[in-house]
Amino acid sequence: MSENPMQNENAIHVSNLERKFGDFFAVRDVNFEVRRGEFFGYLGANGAGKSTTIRMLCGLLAPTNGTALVAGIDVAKNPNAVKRRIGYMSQKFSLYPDLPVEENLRFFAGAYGLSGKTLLHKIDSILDETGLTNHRKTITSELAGGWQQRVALGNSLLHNPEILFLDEPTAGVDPASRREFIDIVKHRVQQGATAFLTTHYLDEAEFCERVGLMASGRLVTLGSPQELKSRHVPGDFWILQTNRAQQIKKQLLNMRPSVFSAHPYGKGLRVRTVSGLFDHNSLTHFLHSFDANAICAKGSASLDDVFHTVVKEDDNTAGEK
Amino acid sequence: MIAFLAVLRKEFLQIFRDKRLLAMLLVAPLVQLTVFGFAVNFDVDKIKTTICDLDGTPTSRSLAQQLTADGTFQLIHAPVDCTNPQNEIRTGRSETVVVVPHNTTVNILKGKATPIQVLVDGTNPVVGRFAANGISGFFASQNASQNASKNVPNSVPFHITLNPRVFFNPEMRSSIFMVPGVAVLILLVVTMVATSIGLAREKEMGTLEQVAVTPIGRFAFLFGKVLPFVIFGLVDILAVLVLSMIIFHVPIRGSLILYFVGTCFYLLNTVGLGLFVSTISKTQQQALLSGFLILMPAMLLSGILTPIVSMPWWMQPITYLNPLRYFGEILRGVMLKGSTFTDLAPSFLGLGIFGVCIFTMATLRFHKTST
Repeated sequence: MSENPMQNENAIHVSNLERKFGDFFAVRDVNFEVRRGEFFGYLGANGAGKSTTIRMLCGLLAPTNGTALVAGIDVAKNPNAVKRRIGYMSQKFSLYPDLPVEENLRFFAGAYGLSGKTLLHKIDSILDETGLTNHRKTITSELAGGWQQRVALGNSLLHNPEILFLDEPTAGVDPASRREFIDIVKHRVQQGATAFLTTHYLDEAEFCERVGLMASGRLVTLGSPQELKSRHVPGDFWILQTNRAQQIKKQLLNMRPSVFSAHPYGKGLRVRTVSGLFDHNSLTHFLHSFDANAICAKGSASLDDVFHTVVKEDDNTAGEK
Repeated sequence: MIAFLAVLRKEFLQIFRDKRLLAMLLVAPLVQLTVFGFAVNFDVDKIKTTICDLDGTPTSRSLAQQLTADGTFQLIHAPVDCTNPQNEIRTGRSETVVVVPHNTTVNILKGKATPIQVLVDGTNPVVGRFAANGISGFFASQNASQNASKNVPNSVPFHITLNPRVFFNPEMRSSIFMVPGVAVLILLVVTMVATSIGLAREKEMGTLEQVAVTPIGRFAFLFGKVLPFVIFGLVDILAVLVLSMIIFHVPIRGSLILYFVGTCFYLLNTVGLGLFVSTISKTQQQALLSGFLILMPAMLLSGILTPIVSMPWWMQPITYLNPLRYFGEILRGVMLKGSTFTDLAPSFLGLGIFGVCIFTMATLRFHKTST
């Protein structure tokens, strides 16, 4: 494997990728790379262009402009060569609901060209990997949502793909099942696969190595979760507990631009300030002049903050155009 | 090949799990064939008849008796108002009324022309025409025998006697004619609808996209999806064969090889049409509706229910674009006439060309819509 000349290449290389539907740009001038073995997250609101991007990368949709190299292959020119090396889990339910779990796997294994003993072993190992061994004879439609998603994941892992495209795989699934699902994917990444995940759950994005964020068809920002936070929501976060939230919020917002924002948080407030504006003592002192019982604690930035800020900036610039 | 077998296996599993689909594929065709074979009956029998015998002589009475002797015309036994015979027709009590006027016997004996009035209900043209022909035929033969018995030397009109001979279906039973035709229609409905719905379901469910991302070839996938329906079609046509022999006593005069080869040609057409329908439909419901849009004109322009020669001249060429026409000719030819391949070559050619065209076109279109 170490002689593989592709090894140092990027798993995905996208340049100037565009897709128009009529006059509408679903994806516009998107550029990024995903390294081999990376767990890459792709965020964005509904209709931002995430699924369109992923469908172009899987060879399901031809780009209007630009190129996408997946596993070093130009998808538009040779979609079939790409298909053997990727696994894809679509946003839509994509299993045969009337067939048992085992038969779903068997069909897709056959579609990837597996047969005989290889096929049977592969199905056993996939059932084991996804924890579905006890459900192998269950009719797929009778499984709970989270389990069905595992069957779908199993389908996309049958041929040991180098790159996994997961389009909102955990939508509508409970948190525990989501965690288990992501763990299966993580395990594959540890074994050397590359994962490209679109999601609405920002906690899932937190453990991606890098995250790209799409808004209105453009890739507006890209980096590790830490980088994105310091780039888009710099400063200190504080969590305040007080009964006089309205009054304190007003006072804090008077200190703009040193204070960036103050939002309701439970009964209290969550505040972002210029880095080093307050320390614990000085903020407590400030609060006590309004509410003697107020308490404050240091908070931290989340990808939620990044998401809101970036999407708002995008809306503003869109409004200016 | 591996991928093709995987599709085939999956398809059969799905069909055998879907009891309703299975019933549609196997039971419905046989029920339909039986129902159609019995219900679609153009044989005319027991025409309700009234005779207004105003003459009232032994001669006129025997005329009436002979007319109704073989059961084709059945006398209704009710008091009749012969002053107004149209009423009999209008009320629907009688389908035909024969009025034998006064002095008929006298006129016959004198050798004078005797007008006999016949009223016929033309609401159902089949019955109407049959009644009119039957009665005029009856009186023609009466004339002839009268002339012969009286040995009138200068009576020329009835030297020529018609002696019709009906080929292939001497009793003119309509079930013999209908059963092969109904088989053509049933195979179309079953295989076209099942194919189009099967593919539309994959589209609707999203499984087609999952298939599209595998390296499976378009032909392997489509052949695997379609072959089970072709097999079910062949099972159906075998059942049709058995049923038509046992229940309807349809003679099988030609070669069974031609019968099955013709069916294979035809099934290429029907599943091709099914594929085509699925390429223009996004959901199962759309596929079903589009299927019916094809079904009606295909049925009416096939020559199966009505003769092609009685269609308007400009419509007749259109039937050459209809695979049902060709398969109808093949089935009726093989079953009823014992036609050979040479006799049916044009139909096989038409069916083959149309089948290859529709199947290829649908397959190419299918590729476009899946990406």
